[in-house]
Amino acid sequence: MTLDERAFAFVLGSLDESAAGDVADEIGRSDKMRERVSYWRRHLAPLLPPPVEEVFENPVSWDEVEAVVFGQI
Amino acid sequence: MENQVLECATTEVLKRIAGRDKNGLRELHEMHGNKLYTELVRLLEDRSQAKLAYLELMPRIWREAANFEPGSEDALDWLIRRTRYLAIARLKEQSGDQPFFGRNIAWEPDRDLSQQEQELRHHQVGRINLAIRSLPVEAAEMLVAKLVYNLTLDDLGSLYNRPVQAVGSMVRDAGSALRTQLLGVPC
Repeated sequence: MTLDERAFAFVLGSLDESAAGDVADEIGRSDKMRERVSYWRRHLAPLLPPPVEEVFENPVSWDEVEAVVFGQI
Repeated sequence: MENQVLECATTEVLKRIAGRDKNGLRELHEMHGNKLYTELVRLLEDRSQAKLAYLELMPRIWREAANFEPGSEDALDWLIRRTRYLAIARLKEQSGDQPFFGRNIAWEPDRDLSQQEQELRHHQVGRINLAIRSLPVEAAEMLVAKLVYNLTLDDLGSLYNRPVQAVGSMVRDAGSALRTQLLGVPC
């Protein structure tokens, strides 16, 4: 894999633990790796869900939860 | 500080649920019910479906809390991931051979951005959606579930009924294809 491919896979989270650890180390040592990881993070960031602005009130009561989990009413 | 306290409290509650403490589940429902329900509404885009899904989520949390590993993941992240897993499973059932995330993802306007930034983001998201749509549906879904909704490879394996290694390989190949598409689409 090229440096850019590894940077992309790192941001995507598709590297295994050991390869991801290697990239994380490399970010500290290599300007190029840092730049590519930052590039892909910026590019993929719009996909991430926006922060929750409005929290809805849960209409489910504890009694209902209790009934489905423990079979009691 | 407040978040740390909440995180510790959530971890303790999950441990109690894992130990079959019914009151622990009640506390979790009271502590995080609104947040989990909101996440369901956000994904399912329908409050009555979200309510049904919540009633399905709670028994799952009761059964699966023993799988939570406090050392490797935040308790609230674990809860949100369980919630998203369930919502995505429901969306997959409803979407047939279309991607569970619909035709496009990430079109929500961000009011904090300037007009110029909005336009740039719109363009950027358009490119990503074009690239994602060039992938096979299952591969695209796995990428979105992994990158956007933070599902693990174990979750994907369970969701798509495939061995974790196979799923890992599919995600890597799909990621590689997505990168190629993104590099190939002109700005």
